[in-house]
Amino acid sequence: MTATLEVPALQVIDITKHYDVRVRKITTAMEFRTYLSVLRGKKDRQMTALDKVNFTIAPGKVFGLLGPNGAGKTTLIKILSTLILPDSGQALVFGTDVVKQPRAVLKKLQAVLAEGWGFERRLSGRQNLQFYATLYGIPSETADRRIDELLEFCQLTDAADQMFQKYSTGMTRKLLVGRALLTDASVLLFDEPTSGLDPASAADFRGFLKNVLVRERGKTLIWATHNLTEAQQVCDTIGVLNKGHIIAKGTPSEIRNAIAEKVNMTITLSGNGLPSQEEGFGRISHINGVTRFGMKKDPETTNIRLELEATRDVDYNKIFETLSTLGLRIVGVEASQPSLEEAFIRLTRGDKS
Amino acid sequence: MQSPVELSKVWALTKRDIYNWSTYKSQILTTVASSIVGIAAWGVNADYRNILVPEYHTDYVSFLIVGILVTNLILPLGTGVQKQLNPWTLETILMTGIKTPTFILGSTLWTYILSVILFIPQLYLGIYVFKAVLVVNFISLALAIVISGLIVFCLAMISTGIRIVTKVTDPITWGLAMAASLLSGMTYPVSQLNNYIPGLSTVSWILPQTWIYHIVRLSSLEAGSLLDPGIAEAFLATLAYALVLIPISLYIYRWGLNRAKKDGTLGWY
Repeated sequence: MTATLEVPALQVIDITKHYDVRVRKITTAMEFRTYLSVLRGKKDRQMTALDKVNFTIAPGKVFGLLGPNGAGKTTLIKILSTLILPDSGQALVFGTDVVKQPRAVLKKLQAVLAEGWGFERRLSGRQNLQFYATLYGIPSETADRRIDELLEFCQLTDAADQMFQKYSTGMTRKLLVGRALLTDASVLLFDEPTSGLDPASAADFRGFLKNVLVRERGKTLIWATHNLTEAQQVCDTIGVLNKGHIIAKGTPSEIRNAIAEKVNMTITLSGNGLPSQEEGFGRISHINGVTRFGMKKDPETTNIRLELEATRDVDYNKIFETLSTLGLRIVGVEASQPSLEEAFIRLTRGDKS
Repeated sequence: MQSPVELSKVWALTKRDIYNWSTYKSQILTTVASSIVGIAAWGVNADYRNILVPEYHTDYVSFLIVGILVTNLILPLGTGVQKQLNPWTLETILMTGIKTPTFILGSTLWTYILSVILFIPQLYLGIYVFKAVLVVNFISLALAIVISGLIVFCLAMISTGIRIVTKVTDPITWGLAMAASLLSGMTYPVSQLNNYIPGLSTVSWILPQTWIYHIVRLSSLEAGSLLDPGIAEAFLATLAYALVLIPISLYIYRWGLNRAKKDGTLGWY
């Protein structure tokens, strides 16, 4: 029996990128010297944008690239789009190297960048798509048919012949998607795709990308964002990028759990009054993993609320058994984990507790 | 280039430029008016001080009118690409995987077509109002225009390569244009320069623009035939210039593009 190995949609292997930082004081007298320093590549210092970044994405999945401003997300997106050269490392799109075969990569991957939409303001939405379709080398008959489909798909048919400069932000975003889909590329990169959209449009847009592009058309998406709600809703896996390093990888719940070294639990009990300090608190505090707890009576009912903080490996059975021996009946259990936002903040600040 | 796909890309870029240009109506009027007023001003000036130009066996009006026409017809190619090299669309255009010559040619073609359109009223003014006498060898002139176009196309590539790195201004093209305005002989024969600094005219022959003016004038003012060894030599020298410039310009364009990709400044302005 032979096993078929699926080629990953994207493999990023040890990608590293440093930027030269130049501190310039430009005055008229210095202009020529500035030119010379630019041409000579004179630098004042270096900053690391990406440091040995690694990840792999399977076809048909949504990978969230999560990170604060300046984390290196756009640099990584532009490296994958062949617009920036990495200093070292390799990135493969369905096995094709982004540095060695950029044109072949661009047939498989397209990006929607956060800045520089690249549309001609004096042309209509349709004319812009026709212009790019020609540059992509799509035969005109195929292009016309595809553009009509894409305009409908992006709900822009009514505005297709309006000058682009009259488009709203939401329409622009949709036109960007339309352009990215012209070549039917398998991998699509989105850099902050919903920034500037109102909440309802952003939700529609997320639904559109996830349901239509991924589920119906089987595209692989990379979604660079610092919007955590969005990442949690849309992404199958997430890589948290901070200061050029991938500091966590996994599903949204794995990321949350990774940071959640402690679990907070509230157990609601019914019984005949609070157990004494010795009986109750003493016995619970001896359970391995319990780090903090408190009990209080609900003033409106006779129930007791036990608020408990424990490590992830706490023996839950032991807690429940102990409560049972105290003559208390468990009527409710709520366990709270840190949100993705909390995990993100802790990760990016280097705070693990 | 693989035609017709590459040609259709060149045409798409050109159509974009035509559309953009034609939607600014005041720009159309001012461009046409400036071109006509410009040639008229030079013509009056030349007519006022009309003297013989023995180098080309002609009078100064004819000499100057051809110089101005060359300037307006061929040299705008060099600036055409600069006008179109806009950071808001450059990254997305490069993401289409377009080839370098296609991109440069497509970005300059409209400028060239516009120059040709404006050339017609200028030529009319030159011949019928200022009585410029053109004695044309059409084969030589056609070849001169092709070689000149090739040189200017290469200069456009060099300019683009540098401007991708330096952004708003390209000091090398600027320097070449400045040197050309003084030394290349657009408005006077280069031998005139020796009256101010002995031997300066020799320096002027280092500039490609000097050769462009020279071969166009040879073919349009004295019907220079390629069978004439003196004329053929000038054409060969200009062609050699073009052939040397082709690999240099490709190298500089790729250097600029890679440099901007390495610095991460491709989309900067």
